[in-house]
Amino acid sequence: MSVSPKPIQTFRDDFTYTNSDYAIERFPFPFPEDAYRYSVNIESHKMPGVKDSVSEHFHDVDEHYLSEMAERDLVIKHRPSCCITLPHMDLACWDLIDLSMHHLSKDYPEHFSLEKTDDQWVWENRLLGLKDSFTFGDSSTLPLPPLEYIGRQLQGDIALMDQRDNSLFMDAGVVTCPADWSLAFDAGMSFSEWHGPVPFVHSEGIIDRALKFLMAIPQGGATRRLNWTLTINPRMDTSPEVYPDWGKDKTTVTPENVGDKVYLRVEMQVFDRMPRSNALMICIRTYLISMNDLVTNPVWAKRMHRTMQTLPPELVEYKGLTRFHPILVEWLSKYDVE
Amino acid sequence: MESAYDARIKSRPLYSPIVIRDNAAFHLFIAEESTEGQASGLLWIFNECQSQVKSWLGLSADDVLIFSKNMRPASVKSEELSLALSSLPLASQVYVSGSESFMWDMHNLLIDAGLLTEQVSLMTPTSSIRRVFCTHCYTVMEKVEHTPVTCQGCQRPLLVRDHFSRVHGAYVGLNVNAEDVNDIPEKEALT
Repeated sequence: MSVSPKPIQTFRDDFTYTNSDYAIERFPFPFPEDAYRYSVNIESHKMPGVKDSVSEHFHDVDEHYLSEMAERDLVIKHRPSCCITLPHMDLACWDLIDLSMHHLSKDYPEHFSLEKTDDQWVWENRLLGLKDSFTFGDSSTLPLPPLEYIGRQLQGDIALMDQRDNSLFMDAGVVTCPADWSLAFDAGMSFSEWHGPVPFVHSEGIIDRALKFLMAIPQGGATRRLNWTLTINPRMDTSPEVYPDWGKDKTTVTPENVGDKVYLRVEMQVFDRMPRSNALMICIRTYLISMNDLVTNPVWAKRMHRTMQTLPPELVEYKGLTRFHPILVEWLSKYDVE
Repeated sequence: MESAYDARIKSRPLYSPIVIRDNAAFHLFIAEESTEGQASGLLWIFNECQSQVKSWLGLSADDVLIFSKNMRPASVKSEELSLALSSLPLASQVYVSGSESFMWDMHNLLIDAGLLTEQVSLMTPTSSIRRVFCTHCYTVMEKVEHTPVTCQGCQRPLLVRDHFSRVHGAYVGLNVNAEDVNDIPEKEALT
């Protein structure tokens, strides 16, 4: 079932964001077991995926499309450094344009169309009211720099990693809804430096194995994994840049408002090889669901409780949950009675 | 939180003792001349280096050449320095000593000039002062000795973390009391 995007809702200030019953049903709940375990949990992103799931299509265009694009516009205007392309990454950006326009126009022909005559392309995005003609590969023929141009039409953050010297380097990105990392600071870092602050993953060899896996991804071998954290209010922009705005939200959680205030934030991370540049694309798509909506599914409610209860203290700290974690576990416990 | 599990942040560089690469066609020693750090370690290695093709550059942090040995004394700004570095012999080896931010600035200049990472050896930093990048207003502060430190740009108290960017030659600073204004930890010396 393809849905038309809802009118614009907000991810800040008055927080009007909501999920429909359909969006709740297809939410990518990330916990496969009743206790927390760290794993790389990579699976194939082969198309088509399971019908109506978030991975049915390469890019999932859902009911929040217009809201997320409006939010992205706000962030880019306030913080231009959320779009960075180092000079050698221009070709990788065109790879992404090629990949995304082909997938979107094939998967959602009611919303997007692409006409090509040699390298003269005409792209229409009816959801945003765009129709642009350009010469493929010639950045001067686009109204915006290539990564910003396509990034403003895709839900989810994008990082383009250059592969060299036995590692991946984050040399381009459009990042407006990060889970607490700064593209401006982390640009140019290697994969393991970028993940430097994450606990466990280095000593357990997870980062080294993940890096080897990612560097070996071939063209057409897209893969995905889910990652998660918790966010107070449905706030997309939890970048460190604006931490002074959202940090204090963590102190507003009470036993009475947990269901409304605490959101499970799930990232579906998709990795694919770019054919011309050999860059690795990482698309980090963020889904948010309130605890009230989550516990409408009894299996999720029980599993959420057990996972939160067994979360190692280092991860509670690293994910920034310390101030409200006990209140959340207590609130969830009433959905785990047998 | 300091805990035993994996406390060392992996983006923070580790420095190995400098070894002279005997097969290099040219040895260039670059030392930051400053009151905080002494380049005596590098000078000792320079004197130990038996090669006839070696040079010593003493630079201040703002990239001005103060003096040189085996090269005529000169005063060069960073663009001229870049030009000079790009004309080094192909198989050169460069050894750098100074504060951590100075060394990574030099490293990046050398990489831009066409050297490979393995051609650039960095010594253990001569002091524990840090360059700090404010993640809120992007102000870059030099010679930070303590955490928390007040940002010179946005005036927020910043926790100086061990997360390091080689591109910026800097550690990240993050508002320490965003969740609770009264929650400011005791000042500690950086190591």
